[in-house]
Amino acid sequence: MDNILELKNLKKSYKDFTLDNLTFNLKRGSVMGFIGPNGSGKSTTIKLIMNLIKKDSGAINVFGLESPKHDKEIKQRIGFVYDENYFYEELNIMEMKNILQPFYKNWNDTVFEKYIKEFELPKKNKIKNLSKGMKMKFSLAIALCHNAELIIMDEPTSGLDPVFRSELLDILYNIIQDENVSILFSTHITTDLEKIADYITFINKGKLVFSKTKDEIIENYALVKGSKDLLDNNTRGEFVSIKETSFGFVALTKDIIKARKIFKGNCIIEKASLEDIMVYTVRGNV
Amino acid sequence: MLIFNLIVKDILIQKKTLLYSLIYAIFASAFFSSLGPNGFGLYMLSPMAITYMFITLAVSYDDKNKSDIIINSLPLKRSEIVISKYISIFPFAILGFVYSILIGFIGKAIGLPMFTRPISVFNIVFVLTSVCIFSSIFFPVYFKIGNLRMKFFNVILLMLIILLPSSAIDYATKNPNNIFFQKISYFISNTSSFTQYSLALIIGLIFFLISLMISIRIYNNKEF
Repeated sequence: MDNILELKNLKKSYKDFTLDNLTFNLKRGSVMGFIGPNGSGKSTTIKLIMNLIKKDSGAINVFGLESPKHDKEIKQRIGFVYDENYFYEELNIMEMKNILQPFYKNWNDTVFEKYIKEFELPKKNKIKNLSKGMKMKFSLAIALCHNAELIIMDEPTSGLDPVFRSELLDILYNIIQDENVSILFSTHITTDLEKIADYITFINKGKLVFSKTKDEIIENYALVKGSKDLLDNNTRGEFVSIKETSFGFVALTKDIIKARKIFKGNCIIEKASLEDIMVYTVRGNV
Repeated sequence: MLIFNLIVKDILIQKKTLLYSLIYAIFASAFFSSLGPNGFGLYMLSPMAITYMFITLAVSYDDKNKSDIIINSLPLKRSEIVISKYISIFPFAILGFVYSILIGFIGKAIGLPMFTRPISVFNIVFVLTSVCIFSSIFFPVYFKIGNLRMKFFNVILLMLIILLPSSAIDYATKNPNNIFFQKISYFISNTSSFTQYSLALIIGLIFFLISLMISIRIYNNKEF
């Protein structure tokens, strides 16, 4: 499998925030969940890939092409869905589609019509009268009907209700049956990813925490719960972070096998969810 | 081709302006007919104002919907986006002319007193030159600071475009001995109108091209 997206030592500084030496790859045909708390640099990274902002240093390669040098060619093959609606609100769905269509060489109207029907989008409604979920579906329909090989989604589920989110995930699940399409999906709602992601890339405060397969993460990370007398300088070192209460502690470890050996029989060891991993990593020791 | 699509986009997002500007042209022909020389309201002020309306409304729709983000996510070069904005002023101006010509024609046919003549080459040259100079100042500022922050600047710019020529003419008639104006009047009386028109258009276009290069530079460095 080749990489469809490669970020290498990517750096972008703002006054109060720095995206620092970010490196990760996305393989063709896979779905990557891009997670991190608000303000961790997810949107900055996506804007860098889309050449909406300029990198300070580092390299971005999409489809093996250097960005932003081959920006135009790259964008022909990217579908994008953003967290907000940036379409012209005064237009209806078909008018907006007619504006966007001529820019893509591989536009397929049959596919567009199929999605409009499937998503039950009202063609004649002005975009400003669509619900947030419908706007998102419309973005998705646009992103999917020009034969894009990479779909970039920046917080597509933010502000959507659980029913709608689950519907979106089903749609994405169907899309990724096509081995040629890859998805980069940024979100802070990690449960969205447990169903569809192959890889998880986690960033915090502009720095990469990890970029691994989801299975590897789920298999190795664990929550250890026990009484506080088990904690000493040695055992503390085993954990990413520890939450201590008056009753005991809950801590996150990266190595479930080692934790089982150390705390054998004395602790409850259970698998950590992506949310646990994010929360414990971001928060540090409490 | 992509530039053409962007211009079509700028018209499609403001289809209502097509109607508003027609109404404006009708009123301008009626109310401003006494303002300047014969046909000034209909053949000069109206196409200029219509072009201005289309330019500023197109960018205000872009800004309101933050559409730069979508436009810049499409397979387009930033320079193409800027060039399309500059070229769009010509279809806008042509539309203004078409409206004026139509109204002038219909007005004359039904025999209204203020419609005495068709549009002249002078009218067209004057409008095109002013519109070129207006956009040359407007667009770099727009690309730098965005439409929302330039409301005040727009008012000043519009006043300048309208007041500057008339006060210059005013000053010239009151000070007939000023060397600069003497030279201009000597030039005007001793050259063909074709030369004068060409010169005006060339000056307008030079402004326009320099401004275009500045805007491309500004937009290339913009972050969204």
